[in-house]
Amino acid sequence: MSGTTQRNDKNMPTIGAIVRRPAWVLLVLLIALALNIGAAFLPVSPFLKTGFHLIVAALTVAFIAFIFMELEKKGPTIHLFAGSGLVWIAILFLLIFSDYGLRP
Amino acid sequence: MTAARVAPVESSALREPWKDIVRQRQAVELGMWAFLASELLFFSGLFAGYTIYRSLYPQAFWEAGAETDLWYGGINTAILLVSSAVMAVVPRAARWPELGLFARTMLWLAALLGMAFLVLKGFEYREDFRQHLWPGPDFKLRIEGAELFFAFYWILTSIHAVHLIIGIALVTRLAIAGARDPEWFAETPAVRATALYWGLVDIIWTVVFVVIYLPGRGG
Repeated sequence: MSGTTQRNDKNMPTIGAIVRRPAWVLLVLLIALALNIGAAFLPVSPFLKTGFHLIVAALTVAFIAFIFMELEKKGPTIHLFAGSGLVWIAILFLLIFSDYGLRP
Repeated sequence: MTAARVAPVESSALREPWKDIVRQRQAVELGMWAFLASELLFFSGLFAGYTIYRSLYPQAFWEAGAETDLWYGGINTAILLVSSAVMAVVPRAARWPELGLFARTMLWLAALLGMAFLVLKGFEYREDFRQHLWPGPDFKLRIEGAELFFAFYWILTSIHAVHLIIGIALVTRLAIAGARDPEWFAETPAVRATALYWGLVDIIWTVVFVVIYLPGRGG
C-alpha cells in the first residue's frame, strides 16, 4: 500500500458513526418536507404560504449544503466560492425587481 | 533557511499538473464549488423569469399549480432527500480502504434512488400529457398565463432531470471504477466532486418543488 493510502485504523470511524449524523439530518428534512406540504393546504393567504414555503426551502438548502456537502468543515476560500453564487443571484434578483418593482 | 520539501508519495489518483494528491483534492473541490455556483446562477435565471411571470399572472399561476401532481412531486422530493443523505455518507467512508465496499454500495443505492426518481417522473409526464398540460392548442386551462406556468414546469423539471441523469452516470462510473481499483477509489477527488454535484441536484429540486408543486393547494 502506498503512503498516501496508509491510515491509522484506530482513527477509522465505524459505519454507525459515519451514518448517524446524515440520518438525523435526513429525518429533520423529511419532517420539514411534510410540514411544507401540510402548510400548503392551510386556509391562509397565498403570500404567507409562499413565504413559509420559501423559508423551509432555504433551511433545507442550508442543511444540504452545510451538513451533506460538508460546507461547515470548509475554510474561507471554499465559503467565498460557494457564497459567490448567492451574491450573483442576489444581484440578478435585485436588478430585475428594482426594474419591475418601480414600473408605474 | 527553508526546510527541504519532502517528495510526495505516488498515488494512483494523482494527475497532472498537481505534485501531490492533497493539493489536487483542494483544487478539484474549489473548482467544483465554482462550477456549482455557476449552475445555481443558470437555474436562477429561470427562477427569476418564473417570479416575474408569477407576479404578472398570480391567479393563473395559482390555478395552474393546483394541476400538478403533489403525490409524484412529494414522493420524488423525499426520494432525492434520502439519496442526498446516502451520498453524504460516501466521501466520509470512501477514504478508508476498509470501508470502500460500503461506500460503493452507497453509491449504487444513490444511483438506484436517482433512477426511481426518473421512473416516477416518467409516469408523471405521461399523466400530464393525458391531461393536456403541454402548452399548445389543446391546453387544458383557459386562464391567461397558465401556459406560462407549465412552460416553466416542463423546462425546469426536464433540465433538472438532465442534471440527474448526468449525476447517475457519474455515480455509476465512480462505483464501477472504484471496484476495479480500490486504492484509486480511496484517494481520488472524484468521490467528493461527485457527491458535491449530487448535492446540487437535490438543492435545485428543493426550490423547483416549492415553486411548481405547492402553489394552488387548499383553495
